[in-house]
Amino acid sequence: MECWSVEKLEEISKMKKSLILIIVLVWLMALFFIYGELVPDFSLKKMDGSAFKLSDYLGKKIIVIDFWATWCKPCKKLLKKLNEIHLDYKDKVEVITISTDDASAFSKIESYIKGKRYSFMVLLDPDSSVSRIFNPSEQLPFTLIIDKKGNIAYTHTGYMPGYEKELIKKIEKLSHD
Amino acid sequence: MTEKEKRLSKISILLLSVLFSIVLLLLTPGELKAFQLGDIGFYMTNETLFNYNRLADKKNQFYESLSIFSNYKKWSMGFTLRGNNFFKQSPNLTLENLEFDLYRKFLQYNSKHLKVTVGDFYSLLGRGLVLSVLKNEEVLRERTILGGNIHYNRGKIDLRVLGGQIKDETGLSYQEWTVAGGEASYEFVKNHSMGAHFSFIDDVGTDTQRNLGKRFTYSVSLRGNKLFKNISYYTEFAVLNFQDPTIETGYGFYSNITYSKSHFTGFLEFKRYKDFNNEMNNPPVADRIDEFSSLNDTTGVRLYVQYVFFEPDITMFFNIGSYTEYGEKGNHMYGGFNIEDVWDRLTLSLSYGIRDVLYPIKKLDGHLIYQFTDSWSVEMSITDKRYRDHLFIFKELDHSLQVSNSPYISVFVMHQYSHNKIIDLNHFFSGGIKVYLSGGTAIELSGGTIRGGQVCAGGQCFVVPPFKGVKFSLLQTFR
Repeated sequence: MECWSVEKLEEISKMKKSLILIIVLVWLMALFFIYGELVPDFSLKKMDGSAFKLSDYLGKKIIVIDFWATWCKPCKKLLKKLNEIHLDYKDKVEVITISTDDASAFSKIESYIKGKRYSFMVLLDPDSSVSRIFNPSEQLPFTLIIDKKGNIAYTHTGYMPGYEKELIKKIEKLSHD
Repeated sequence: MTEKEKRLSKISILLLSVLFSIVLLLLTPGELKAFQLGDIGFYMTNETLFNYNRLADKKNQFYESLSIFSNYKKWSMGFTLRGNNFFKQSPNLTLENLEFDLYRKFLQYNSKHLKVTVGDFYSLLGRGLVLSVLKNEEVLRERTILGGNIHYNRGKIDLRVLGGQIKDETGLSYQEWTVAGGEASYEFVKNHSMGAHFSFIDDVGTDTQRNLGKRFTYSVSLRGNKLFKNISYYTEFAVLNFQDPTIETGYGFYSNITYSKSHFTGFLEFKRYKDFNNEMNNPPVADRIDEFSSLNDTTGVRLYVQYVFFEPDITMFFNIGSYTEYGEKGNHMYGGFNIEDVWDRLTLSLSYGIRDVLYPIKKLDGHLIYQFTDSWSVEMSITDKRYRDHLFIFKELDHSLQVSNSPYISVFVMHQYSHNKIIDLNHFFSGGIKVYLSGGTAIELSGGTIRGGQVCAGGQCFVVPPFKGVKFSLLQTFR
């Protein structure tokens, strides 16, 4: 009968731990297939310093949330389109953009938004307290749509020219549901 | 366990995980759904990355990350389960074994005025002069504080205290420094506040190459907006004290003022840093990512002006800055324009910048997008960057072309040219495809050679190693 060394036993123990973790992971993933939707509530500061809480806005309009940063070029292209959506669908849609820049970029955010005359709501998430929940991969821009019932109806990472048409389609569909 | 057995075990784990991701993908062609149990909600993101990296010591590289967030009334919690055998910051180094860890774990209580967090959190006090512990996605750096954070906000008063231990993503012991901090601000007139900020850092007892010991950084600030309707401003003055009397006391001063009216925006900034590096602070830098500002001895003044025509949408901008770093004086100038949505089809931008202070850089950026139809578009970009790092002069020229059918698919090719005296290889070719499925899944397959090099962003610089091989990534959001 073969005698296993301490190193070998440790190695097997490590492998077992890895496999257990993978099984737990698979189990968790399977658990999440059960149907259901709910948007996590959060609070942040607006660009003007006033307070914002998502639950205060839920159920009133369709909400479009966009995560962006001043260094992200595709994000800026999407912001322009989001401002158009904000102006065209003011009665139906609340456009909320969340800057993930750190506080050292606050002046850049302000001068960029004011300079472009964007009128949607701008929230600041300098320590990524909200971004790390909704967008842990941190790829930008990241968009999500919340319907009037408070459910997350759509998520998308990235921007390609013409993507705004897809957003408008989703908004139109949700506003008729 | 023999080498062969070890290898087989590792391969089986890798295959199992990859297989799991593929099965998951096949089983969920529609929208991915999260779980809800009564008032308890869950939100989950899964990221899988596989590299076949020919420049790594071991070619097969794997990264799996599952982030889960849950909330119940005023309580929330989250964590990321991660299994990987390489770190994104150093892709040329593959670990001996797969490592599993739990990071970004936190428990939070959030009421109208009070937010209490226990676990991993990012933190930034003031504008980063006294403490800045944040991720820096551009330079692939992840740092958190493991400890507690209490934030109270009511009316005109805002208070925050925190404490814990610095955690680096790579888990290096020398980053496990003790840190504490806090800040208080008071709105003395509507839209105008004053604040006080402090941090304490202790690296004693850790394996640090440059042990600075215990240090205390404190600052006062003044900020406001809507002054005479169109002006906003921010000023902060900070002092850095070391317990070690042989290390000189440092100081930092940062101030800016923004004027914005109608088509015009002007931004004026002044900064002065002297012996001000506490290793955990990161004051504001200019908005060109190439800028690296030393905290040891820098004086800078900068003016940025922007004029926007709204019909057609044209933005023109110009920046001029004057800097003194370690007694060497120089300028940083850049300017350009951006024309968007010409005939609803064409977007064009061009900018050029020169920085001739300590690390001189010349950079040209050009970008063109043409939309053939509402969904089909072509994007071209060109970057010409020349910079000097110590004795070496680098020239980098990048061309990229991307064809997209929004929002489902994009195909891209890239050519990078690099000329320097260190490496022989001059031309790098790569390409790939990205597919977005309607249910919140993104798949990317890319390959080729990608030039490494120095990336600077947010006051931090990082040398990205070159890559040669194939990458596969899968990103899923469950909602």
